[in-house]
Amino acid sequence: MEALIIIGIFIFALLGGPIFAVMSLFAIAAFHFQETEISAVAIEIYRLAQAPTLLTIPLFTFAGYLLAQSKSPERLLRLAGAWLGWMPGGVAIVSLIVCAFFTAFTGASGVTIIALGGLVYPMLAKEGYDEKFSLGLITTSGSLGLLFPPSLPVILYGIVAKVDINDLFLAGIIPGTLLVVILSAWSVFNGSKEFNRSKESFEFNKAVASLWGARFELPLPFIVLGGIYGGFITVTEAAAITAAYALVMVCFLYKDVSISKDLPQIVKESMSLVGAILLILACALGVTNYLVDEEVPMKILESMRELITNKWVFLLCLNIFLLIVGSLMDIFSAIIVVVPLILPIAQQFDIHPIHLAIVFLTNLEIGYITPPVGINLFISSFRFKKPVLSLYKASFPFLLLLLAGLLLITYIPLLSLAWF
Amino acid sequence: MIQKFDKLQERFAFAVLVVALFGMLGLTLTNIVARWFHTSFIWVEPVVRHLVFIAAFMGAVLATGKKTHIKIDLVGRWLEGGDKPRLRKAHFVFISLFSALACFLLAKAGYDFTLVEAQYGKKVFWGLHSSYLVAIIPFGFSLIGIRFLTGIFLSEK
Repeated sequence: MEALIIIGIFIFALLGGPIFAVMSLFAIAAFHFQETEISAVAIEIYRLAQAPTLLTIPLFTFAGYLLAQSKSPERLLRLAGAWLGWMPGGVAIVSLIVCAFFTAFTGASGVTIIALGGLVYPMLAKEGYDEKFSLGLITTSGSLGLLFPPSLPVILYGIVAKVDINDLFLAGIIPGTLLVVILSAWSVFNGSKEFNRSKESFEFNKAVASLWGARFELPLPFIVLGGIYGGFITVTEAAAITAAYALVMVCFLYKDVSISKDLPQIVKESMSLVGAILLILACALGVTNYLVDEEVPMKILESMRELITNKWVFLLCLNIFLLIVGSLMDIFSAIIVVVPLILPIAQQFDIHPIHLAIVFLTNLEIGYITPPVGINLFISSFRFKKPVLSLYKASFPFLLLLLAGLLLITYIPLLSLAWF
Repeated sequence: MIQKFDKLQERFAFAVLVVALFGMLGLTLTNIVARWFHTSFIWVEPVVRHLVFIAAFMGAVLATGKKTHIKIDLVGRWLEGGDKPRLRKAHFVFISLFSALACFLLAKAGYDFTLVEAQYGKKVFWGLHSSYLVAIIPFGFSLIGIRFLTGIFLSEK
């Protein structure tokens, strides 16, 4: 009977049952089999109301959606284009940087591709980039800034793994930059192949005008990073200040977003994502506690002992496992479900928790464009009305480059731990 | 009738969300400003934490209506690809029913917890008893469960 129920829940998950429902059914069943009152599940869920850093999730998400729905993407692209557009591959680099910025603020939820895709694609086409390169670049950059502050997956990882979020933000800067640099180098290589391509020339007046145009957006990263690392504010306060600043900026300074027409929709969109994520987190607390109580991670470790003998082999296996997880599951559920299982095993192999976090998140970042079901491939297919197969081909070179970056991040822990 | 009820639920969730979102934003900013004057309101932190908790449930009510819950959507994508309306409908009803079942079981778990808390809990902030805060769980899951069910009826139209 017990096996039947578990198989039933598994089928429900595979058929597309919401992850939160799958988790809670599993937790209820597990507690029931143990003859524990099911109110134990509710007690675990209520633990969500005790986590102080949780506030960062709704506030940063709200700020990200405000920025994405305003004309900020245009202004930042104009700014970056005016300053970097003259370089070979400059427009592509600009696109990568601006997309990374937006992904960091919108939490890699596909918003980047939807909000920026329509702006970046014609820009790349005008520069003479072929369709395959442009689609590959946009699809990839939909998750590129995931390691940068104030990225939602980083915050969630910190909460689930009980690692300091400030440390994680700091640790992600070098690996995140490395991935942007690798893809920028690829863009320069593609940009310099045909010399007859019309490149933008640097115009001082245009550059200054674009700087003035984006005058209110530019302080944002400094508020977040400077505030937190200058020791002036905590990460939750940074979230509140960012949300308030973004609200005032887009509603009152630029007046891009109408309070009566657009703001309600932004609240709905951002908060339904927040609700979906937090509900999984709440329901997973019961499951992960059960699994840890049952010493499931230790049992996995024991069964792996003969195959995996040292930390480097473990990391390689972890990479393969997480790439599969990242391409099948969304990043939020993957963090919530997999982190508590991996954490004790990684500890046994003496892997630094911050290094593990960065390897973990980089894998999931790449999982977004890993065929057959990386979510960015489908979002791009929907956004640009192209068959998914053509997006597999378009993003394949980018996937290989990111995998090379992943190997560097995995096997050179210093990239993540340079600050510590 | 069901459509009206669903709209009412959506409006309620949205109104609560607006209060919760701007409440958490305003209260956190208030505490930052208060700190400049070397003071702080100790009740702000627990209130904000519970506003986030409420926002999670109300956001999930909206996500249920929009069918944007996070899931492994391989079958859903496959069904959307071809001309299989009956299979698609059956799949949707199956998923909605089981999701509603999960929500009602969670609501029951939350209700049991609320009863225990009513007996053994304590007053927290603003003189509010902790059982009222715990009651967010059965209330929230009931709303989400009902929304899954109304979704089935609305998809008929």
